[in-house]
Amino acid sequence: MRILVVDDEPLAREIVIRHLAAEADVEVAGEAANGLEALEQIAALEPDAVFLDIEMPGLNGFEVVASLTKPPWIVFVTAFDEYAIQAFEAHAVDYLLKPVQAERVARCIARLRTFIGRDQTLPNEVLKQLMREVRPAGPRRIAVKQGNRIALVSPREIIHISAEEKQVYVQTARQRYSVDKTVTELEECLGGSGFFRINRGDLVNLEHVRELMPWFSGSWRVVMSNGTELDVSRDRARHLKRELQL
Amino acid sequence: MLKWLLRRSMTPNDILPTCLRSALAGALFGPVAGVFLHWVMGRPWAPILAEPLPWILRTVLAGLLYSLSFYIMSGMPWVFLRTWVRSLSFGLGRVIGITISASSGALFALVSIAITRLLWGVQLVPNEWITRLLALEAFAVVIIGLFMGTYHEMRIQAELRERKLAEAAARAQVYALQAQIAPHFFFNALNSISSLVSSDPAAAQQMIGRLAEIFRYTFTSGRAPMVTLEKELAFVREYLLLEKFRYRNRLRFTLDPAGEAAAQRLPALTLQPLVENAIRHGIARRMDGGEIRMEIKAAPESVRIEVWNQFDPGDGPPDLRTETIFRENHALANIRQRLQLSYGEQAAIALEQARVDWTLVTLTLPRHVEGADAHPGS
Repeated sequence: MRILVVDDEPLAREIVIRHLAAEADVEVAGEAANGLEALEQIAALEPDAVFLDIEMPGLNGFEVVASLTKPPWIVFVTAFDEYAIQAFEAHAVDYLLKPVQAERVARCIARLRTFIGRDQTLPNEVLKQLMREVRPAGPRRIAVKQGNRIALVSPREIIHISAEEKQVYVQTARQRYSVDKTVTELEECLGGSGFFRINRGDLVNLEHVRELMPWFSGSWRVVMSNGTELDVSRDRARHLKRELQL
Repeated sequence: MLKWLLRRSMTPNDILPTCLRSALAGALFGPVAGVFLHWVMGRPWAPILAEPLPWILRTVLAGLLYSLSFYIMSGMPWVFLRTWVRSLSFGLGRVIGITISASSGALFALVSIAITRLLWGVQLVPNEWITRLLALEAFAVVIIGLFMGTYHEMRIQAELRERKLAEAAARAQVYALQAQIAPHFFFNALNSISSLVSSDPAAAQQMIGRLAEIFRYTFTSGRAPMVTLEKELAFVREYLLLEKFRYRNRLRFTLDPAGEAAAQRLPALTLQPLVENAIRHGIARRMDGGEIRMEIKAAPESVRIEVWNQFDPGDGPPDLRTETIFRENHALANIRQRLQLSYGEQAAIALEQARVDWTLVTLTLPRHVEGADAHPGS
């Protein structure tokens, strides 16, 4: 079983790694000191499971999970977050409390053994549900690929997200990022951040909508803050007007 | 209606004692009033209270009748309405109180006339002295009402102020304790210690010592709420060194020495929460960490303490509205409250954004140096 250990404090990584060393079939595949490094390492190392600290600079643990399309098994690590712990309990998601204790780690690993390599479906749905509960206001940042690098974008900066010829782009006032996610995946990831799907290929940030004008045969058109005009499909127009309280 | 009044005015436990008190007062007041009336009217009781009742019993009965009616007319409205009246603002309460007194006084005057007619069979013509008596009574009611109302109000106000002060102080201490034993801080420190125990026992020992110092200072701050700036700064340093174990070189700090202002007195745990905030909301959110600077500027009349810290500009500009910064149960609001309790309007605390990615908290304290109090931690 290959495991990635993510925590911004070196001492905190050290203690988890030391406890993991007691397990014969566990290999610590790597370490990451923040959310961004975690995303890079998960992509590069494809670990079976990640021990993921929640409070981290840049992207926190939840935002890391929200940025993953197919997350591996996640064991959250936290010092104190009563609200999140309730959610973990409710969804039977593994977590460790700091100070991290050896027998807790052993129990986690035992549980992971029953899942990993047994052709179980990955914990996608459970994690998505969990994210909606612990971060009802949506993530502070999302990670987007920019060439070989990963950039962090605050949802507030995003004007719209559009699919063009099988490639999805995230548009901010300054830049356009291509991402390897579908519009639907991004819509899910940004849930609660004030985004609205205006047609099959376009997701707009309602904060950046400047104008709404009638277009042909019952469809509408929105003008975004950067001047881009996008079509609103007929069945979405009604919901959009309600969303904008028109 | 009566039930509603009762529920608004008193608890069931209140009713019996109040009625008993009224009855006792009536029994005491009755004979006196009777003798007084006997003297005023100057004639035997007739025709209802005639022989064979002895003179003294008739006097007492008549007095009782008067005082009972007095209590029903003017006492009962007050008994039922007093709690409600007290809950009103001072001015309104006084106006309503006087109205109740005056109107029940007038009602009583009417009832006395009726009773007099019943007892003596005479039509009581309000001749000059009776008019004067009534005017005097009304005047007395107003004066007594005003006096009682004002006195009562003053007592309530004083009580309220005292209670508010005590509550604020208690909250401050509770807050200080909670802030110090902030769960995140505490459990993370324990995690670091736990990690160091086997790899670097000496460092673990040092960290436990630091943690102990922090708890000691917090626990004793309740007994000696005012400390010297030097003490508080030493404590802040202790705290930062402990956090340094966790954040390593992501946390960089410089603390000015207290210098001339070493003996300046300030509420304990004023500076540490500022530094804790600087780490939580500033340094911890920056991927490669940041810097905290504390500068002490001593002037003859005041001491200015500036806490500078970097934050992550990617989080967007900080929300600097007064209602956000000083929201209840937050460090800054609590510090401001304690400064006000200690110095009145002479102290100030302000938060601003300085340059692109720095925030600055400025504390201004009036010069305050005092003889030896016990210091926490000593």
